[in-house]
Amino acid sequence: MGGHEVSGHEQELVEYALGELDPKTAARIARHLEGCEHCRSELVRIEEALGWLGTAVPQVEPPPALRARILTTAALEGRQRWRLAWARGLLAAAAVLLVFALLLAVFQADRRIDDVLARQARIVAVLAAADWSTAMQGEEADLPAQVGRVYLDREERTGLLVLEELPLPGDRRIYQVWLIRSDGGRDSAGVFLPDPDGKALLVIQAREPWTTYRGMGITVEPGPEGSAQPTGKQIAGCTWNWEGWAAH
Amino acid sequence: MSETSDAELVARVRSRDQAALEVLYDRYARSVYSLALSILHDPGAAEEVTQELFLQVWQYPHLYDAARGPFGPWLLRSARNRAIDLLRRRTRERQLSWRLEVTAHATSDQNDPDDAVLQNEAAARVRQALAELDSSLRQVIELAYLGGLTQREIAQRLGMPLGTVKTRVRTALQRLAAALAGDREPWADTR
Repeated sequence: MGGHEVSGHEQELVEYALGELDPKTAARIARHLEGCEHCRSELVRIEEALGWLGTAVPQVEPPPALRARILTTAALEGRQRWRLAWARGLLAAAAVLLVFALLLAVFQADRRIDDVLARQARIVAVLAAADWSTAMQGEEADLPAQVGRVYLDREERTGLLVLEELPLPGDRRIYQVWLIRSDGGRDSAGVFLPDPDGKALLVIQAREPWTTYRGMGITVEPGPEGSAQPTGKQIAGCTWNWEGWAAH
Repeated sequence: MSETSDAELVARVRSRDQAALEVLYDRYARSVYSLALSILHDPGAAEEVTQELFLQVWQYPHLYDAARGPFGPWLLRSARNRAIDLLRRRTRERQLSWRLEVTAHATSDQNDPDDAVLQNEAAARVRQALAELDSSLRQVIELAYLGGLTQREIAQRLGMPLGTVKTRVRTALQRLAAALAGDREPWADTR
């Protein structure tokens, strides 16, 4: 391509499209793409070529039952989704605004746009099902009174923890989320590190239904695996109050 | 509705028109399933990828952004990424050589006059450009695209310097991208 202007980013664009860049480099390229129309159009071309490359494999007819299964699932899911949207729309609408703002913030740190979209889809699904929410309160002097919010579907075991103001926990330390059972015992719900702005979006999968727990807490634990039971002081937490949920 | 454009069908899916989803399925299911099968070599897993992908289109049609190119390659890229993720989860503990073995010469030229996706002009150009690549270039792009190997893994497996692999992957992809515009000249090596 004789007149093609070399931007110097071809190698990185190829690796970006293949999802091979480390998060830091991917974030740098994402920032560059925002301001460089030439590289954006190059990326679109590379991605389109990668997509059509998928037609170069031997073609096999999928089983006919697959079509019926997908369309039936879509029909059922469609009805359920609209019912939930009607019943739970107010909470979800408020939360979705918040989450989209946060997703934009954490977008830069993510590896691939597809990863972001898949994660976004999962988060939106959890939020669409959520019917209850409460504030996550800071319990340390140097933390704000509210560090984030929890969104739950009371009938299920998934929830979303949205944290907005949590400093990094220090060298070789990690935050660990605990679900507090009614007998006072703690179930680990995973470990995480917030981004440099103190933000984190976590999909929480509880071992038991939410109603068997009375709250949630966050402690600082040794990284990277965390602990079997809490060893550090609880720095933030909340207790369920099922009778009503506090407005924003 | 079989003549309707992909963009129009996606717009109808956004307004919860299930007939539009059916047309998209009939148009793309074979390509999606075949690609997942080529990567995973497991019909059950290929069905799983196909089902998840079309249900995602139904549930979250706004994830497709027309500004980032046509729907077909976007869908196939999503299928490839899902299949590679599944492959990586499944083969994490297995030998890399298994993946190498099953992906050698995995692509072939297609000519099915009944398949609208295969007859798509851009798709045909990309396949033609792939067929015209030197075997050394074709090998690395197949390993990266269908095998899900990183360039470092390809270099290790082929006993080749990483820089050579990077140059080959970039050259191969740039030739495929150039073919989209009908440009037969390979791009200048920018190294």
